[in-house]
Amino acid sequence: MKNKLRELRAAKDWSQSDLADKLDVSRQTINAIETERYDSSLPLAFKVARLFKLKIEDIFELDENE
Amino acid sequence: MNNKPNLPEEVWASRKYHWATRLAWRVNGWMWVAIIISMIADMGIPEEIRKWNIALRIAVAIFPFLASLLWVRNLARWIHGMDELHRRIMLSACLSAAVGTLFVFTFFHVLDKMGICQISSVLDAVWVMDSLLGCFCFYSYQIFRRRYE
Repeated sequence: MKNKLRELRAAKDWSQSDLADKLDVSRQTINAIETERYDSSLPLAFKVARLFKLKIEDIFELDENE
Repeated sequence: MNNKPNLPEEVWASRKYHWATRLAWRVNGWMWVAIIISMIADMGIPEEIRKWNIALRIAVAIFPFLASLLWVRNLARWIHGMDELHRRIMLSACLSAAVGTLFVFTFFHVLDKMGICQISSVLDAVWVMDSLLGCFCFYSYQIFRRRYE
């Protein structure tokens, strides 16, 4: 699954650790999501969307091959 | 309220993270108690223990199992406090550790049955089981976490 987490985080000038603290997850989880090695759960996707005041589909996008 | 998720690296020796001794003891303390008591009962003074009264012998026999159950309870609570990525990796590692331990026990029992190697009497101890589970869990975690780095 593709996502715009890195761009959104950079726009807010947050580090991975800052974002991890805001979402109550570890920095490694944020890194794994940003590098698209891990697809977040639905509750975490909702938390991300709420934090950035966007819709889930504005942040996460299903890859055509998936 | 502290919402910081638990990290496996905090209780295992790691170059990147500070090793939290108190947390490590809280998670794995009962494992060490089970290993030490079982090891002493199994290897140290077995002949002496056989002379003790029945209640004491039952206590020595059962205590490592109870300690192992308490370890599993603490481990489950610790995993429950992890974030979703680490929980997924740890559960895979625990499953892999359980299968690996079962495989080792079965493999050596079969070899023993065939008269190839007389090792199953050594394997019939809680300290061997807990040590194998702990080691398999640690190494499985190191392997599984690479996928997400």
